[in-house]
Amino acid sequence: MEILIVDDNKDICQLIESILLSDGYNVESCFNPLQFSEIIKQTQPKLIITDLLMSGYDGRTLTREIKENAETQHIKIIMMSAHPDAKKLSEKAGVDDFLTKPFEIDDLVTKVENLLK
Amino acid sequence: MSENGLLSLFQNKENVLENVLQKTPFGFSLINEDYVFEFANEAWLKIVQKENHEILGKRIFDIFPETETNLLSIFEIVKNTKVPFYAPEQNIKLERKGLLQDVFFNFVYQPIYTESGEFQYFASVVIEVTDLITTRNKIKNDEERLRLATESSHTATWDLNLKTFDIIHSSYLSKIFGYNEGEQISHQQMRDHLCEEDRINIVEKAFEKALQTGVYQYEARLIDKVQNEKWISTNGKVFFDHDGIPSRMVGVMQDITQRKTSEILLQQSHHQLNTAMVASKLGRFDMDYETQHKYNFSPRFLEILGYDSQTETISSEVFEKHIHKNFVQLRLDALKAAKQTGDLFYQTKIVLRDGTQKWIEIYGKLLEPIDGRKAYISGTIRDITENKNYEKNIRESEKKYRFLADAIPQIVWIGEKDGQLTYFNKATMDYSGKNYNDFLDGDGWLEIVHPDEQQENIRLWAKSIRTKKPFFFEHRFRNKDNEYRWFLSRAFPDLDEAGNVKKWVGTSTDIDDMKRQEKQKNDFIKMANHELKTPVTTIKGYVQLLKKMRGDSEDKFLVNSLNTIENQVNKLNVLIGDLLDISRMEAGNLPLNKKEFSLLGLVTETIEDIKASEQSHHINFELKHPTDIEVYADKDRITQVLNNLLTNAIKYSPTSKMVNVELFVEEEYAVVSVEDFGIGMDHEELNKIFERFYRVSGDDEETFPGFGIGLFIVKDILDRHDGKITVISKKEQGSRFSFFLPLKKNKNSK
Repeated sequence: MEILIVDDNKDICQLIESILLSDGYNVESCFNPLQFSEIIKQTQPKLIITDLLMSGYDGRTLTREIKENAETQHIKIIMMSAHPDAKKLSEKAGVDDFLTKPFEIDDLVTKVENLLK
Repeated sequence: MSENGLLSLFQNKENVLENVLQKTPFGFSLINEDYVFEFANEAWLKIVQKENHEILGKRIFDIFPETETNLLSIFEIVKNTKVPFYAPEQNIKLERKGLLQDVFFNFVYQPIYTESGEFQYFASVVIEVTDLITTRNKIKNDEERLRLATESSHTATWDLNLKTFDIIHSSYLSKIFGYNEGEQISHQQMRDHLCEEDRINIVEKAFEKALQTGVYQYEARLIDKVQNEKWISTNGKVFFDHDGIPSRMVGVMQDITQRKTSEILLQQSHHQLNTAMVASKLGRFDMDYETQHKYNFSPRFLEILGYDSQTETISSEVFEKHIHKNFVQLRLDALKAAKQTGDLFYQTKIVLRDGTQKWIEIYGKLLEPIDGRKAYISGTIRDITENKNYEKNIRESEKKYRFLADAIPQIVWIGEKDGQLTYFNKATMDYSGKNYNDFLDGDGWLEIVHPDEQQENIRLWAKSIRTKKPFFFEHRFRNKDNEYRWFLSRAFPDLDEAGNVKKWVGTSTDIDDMKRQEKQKNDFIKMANHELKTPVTTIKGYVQLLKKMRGDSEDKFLVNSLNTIENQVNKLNVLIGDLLDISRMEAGNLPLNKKEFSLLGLVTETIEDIKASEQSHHINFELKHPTDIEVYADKDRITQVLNNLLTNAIKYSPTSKMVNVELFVEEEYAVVSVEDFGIGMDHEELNKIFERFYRVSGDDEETFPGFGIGLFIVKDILDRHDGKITVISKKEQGSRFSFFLPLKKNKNSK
């Protein structure tokens, strides 16, 4: 499994899964952020696409945990958000790339492509 | 018996006569025609200091040879003319009582003839007149001394004959009139030198009066020979003749110019002082410091104490009786203090005779004893009842306003011109739970300002003090429960006529609820923005995914529908973004992310994006500058601006299909203009387009949808870039919007 999508909105998860699947990526999603820790232990994704603001679990916390853990810090992270200041906050949190919601699917594909090169 | 007595007297007549002659106090001698002495009495002998035997039968010139030259001719004349010869006041040096003295005699030589007319004797009568001469000389000396005295005291003397008006005067009088000393001047000349006004009103009247009363007295002005104005004073006395007719007037005249000048000056300064005293309604008095007896009361002093200055006088101790009993000690203390400081000052209530009460103010200077005078206080008294009442009224009116200020729930404060706050109303205490003095102490009020706003608060307040411009600031104040609430503080300067600040009057209004609602609204919009964008993201994502997968489908309906959905979703996304922008702009926290970028790139990219979704119009672009133009700005926001202008141009030109875009440099600005040939706007509409929620209405509302918030945001974005936006428009002909961004200075300067 290459890409893990973490978003509390199931529709968003399915959308991104569909886009990336159609481009031939191996994708899984997790729409209950609380289960994220479990999933990450079982699977070793190369890229995580997540949202800045999720109920119960914050994208920045996720980023910190991934990037602070030596075993997981190689995992790339793309942060998405509809929050107007999300880009700055995300960069500060240490993500690898950022995507404004709503996004152009070409932008998503390009970013994913770049990070998984 | 008597006849016998008389007869015997006659019989002895020669004898008797001789005796009488012998004893008379004047000298008497008889000299015959041969100048031989035949008789000399005791007095005569004593005068010439001879004994009887030494002269009788002797020739006069043998005894007194020195007299022959003079006397011989005199005798001859007397003998021939039979007229006696007088030689008055002859000075003879005689030794008397062992001292050689000047002695004066009147000599008379009288010829004596017989009954038949023959010459018989020269009778020589000698009378000593030394005493008379001495007395006369004494008078003469006295006169001379008087003259000298008058001259040295600058007093001239004169003697006027009232019948002829001849005047004799001392030499100093000439000097007074500007003539040379000793030069004689006539009475008429003197009159002519007098100032006409004084001559008529003073001198001539005094003269008339003198003729009746005998006393001549006046002070008048004259213009002397060399045109100096002088003051003279004359004192004279009239002498009347036997018939009571004035015959002579004798007097003195003085030059009193100097005295008069200083008198006039003194009078003027007195007048000024009086004017000042009257104007200030000051009364005056003097007081012996030891006994506290007062004297020299001015009329005003009496009036203040309730006496009629015309008809009443008061004794030196009356003043004390009027002092209100509550002020007796205060007055004594003030008097004691005066001893130390030299100044007496106190305000006291006084009680008049009719029981009315007044306030007075005493101010005095303690003058040290000099020249044997006792220490005394020269003082003034002022009626300050009105001032006191005024003060009281002011206090009452102020009390009223304070009450009012305390009664309102708003925080009210007053600052001095230097910014120091000196008053806070009760609401301030109630809110903060602090006491009044905590606020007055230094910057005590700053204590309750939220630490985040303190610095800005200090800065803005100092700026207002400096510029005298009103102060506006929103800040949080801590209440007594240690919670902060938002307040809007406003302060306005109270200026005097000269434009100087007298006071600052400030209010702080609790706007916390408003702020909270505002924040709730903004939070809601922010939340709504986020929540709305999630479904938009999903829709947009699936539409694009569908287009990607089915875009090359033969089914035109499907493809068109997908395009329309995507366009509308994009518009919806922009609208959601605009809503958020507005709320953030209002809250003042629309962030700008400025960096350098190529304006040419931005314009072309934006045009391309628009073209992709709006094929209805033809957008021309022209670069009217030799090179690319770099600006330092928020690229996303500027894109938003241009996007807005372009979509408007398209939206509002439904019939024309042309939009022209130009990029150029004008002065210090990079300018992008967007021109359409659509419906345009009239003047009234032009003024409103940058207002929030305004939009140009067409005949059919539905033709031009939108919130009308676009230009409002555009203007705000440009304002925050120190840029501007302009518009030229004509109804039914189109509009040309231009936005200006400041050039990056170092890069584009020539």
